[in-house]
Amino acid sequence: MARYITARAAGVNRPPATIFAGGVKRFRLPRDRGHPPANNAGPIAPDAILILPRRTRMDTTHTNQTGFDPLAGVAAVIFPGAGHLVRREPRRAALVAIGVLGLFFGGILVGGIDVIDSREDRVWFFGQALVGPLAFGIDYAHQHHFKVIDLQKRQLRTALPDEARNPVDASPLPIRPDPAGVPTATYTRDGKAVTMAPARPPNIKSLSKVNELGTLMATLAGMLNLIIVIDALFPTLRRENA
Amino acid sequence: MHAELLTLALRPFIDPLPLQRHWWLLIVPVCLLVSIAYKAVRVSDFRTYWKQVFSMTAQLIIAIVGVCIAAFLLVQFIIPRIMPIA
Repeated sequence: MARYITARAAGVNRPPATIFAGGVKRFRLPRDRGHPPANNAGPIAPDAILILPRRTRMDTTHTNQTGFDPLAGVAAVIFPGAGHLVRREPRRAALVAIGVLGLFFGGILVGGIDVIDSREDRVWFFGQALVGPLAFGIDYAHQHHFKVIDLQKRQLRTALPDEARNPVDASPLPIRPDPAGVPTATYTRDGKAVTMAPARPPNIKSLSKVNELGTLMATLAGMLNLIIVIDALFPTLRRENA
Repeated sequence: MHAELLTLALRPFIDPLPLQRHWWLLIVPVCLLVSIAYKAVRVSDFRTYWKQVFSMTAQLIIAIVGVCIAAFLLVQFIIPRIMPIA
């Protein structure tokens, strides 16, 4: 049976989902993917006027998918913005990545790598861990490539301002100026003395407001990423025009 | 600390930035980045996205400054009137 679709005779075989947006009559199509509505399948009369949806910028970023999207959720957990990329929303994915990664790396830029520390700032790290594997990787690098092993307590700690890190066993090395005034530190490798000049601590511990703000920025990134993971996982929870 | 260490170059992302006096300026990028990420998952129409981002950024900054002023007034004027320090 032929379906007649016309805008000239209003009300004649009007599809059930016809809407009038912005003064232009158009159909709301399922998923906004540019496919004709399923209920209009079949031959169309030669004199019918088929009004297809306008291709707007919104069409590339807005989807009306429903339900539960576990693949997008997993992707969003792995990397900020990847969940929306899986859902074919590249613009939303890029903006999410800019926001979350900007906050996360902005926090590290402000407070140094010291702000990501699962041992000394464990509670804050719970929030930062929501950024995903990136946070765990940076914490691993901080613990195993920047901290020194305290010889008395046998625990990892940040090097003091006058300590360098022994690249062999991660023990702290005292920094002493040589006769020319250059700070140096000496360690032993394969029985030979090796001198680092200039020697400096592997990283400088941030203090006060700079540390607080850097830690806060990285934690805010994790908390925002939780919202983004939920949005990728349950896309229908998104409110319109919020 | 050895004086020589102070002359060594800053290592971005490893050492903290020297923002001890201007830390409060970070309110602007923090609010802007929070708004960018939050509005990215809240808007349905990206034609108004940046307008909403800057609107939310302004609202956040005004709210934080307002809370700051309220806390200042509370600590400096209201509490001393309620409980005068002898």
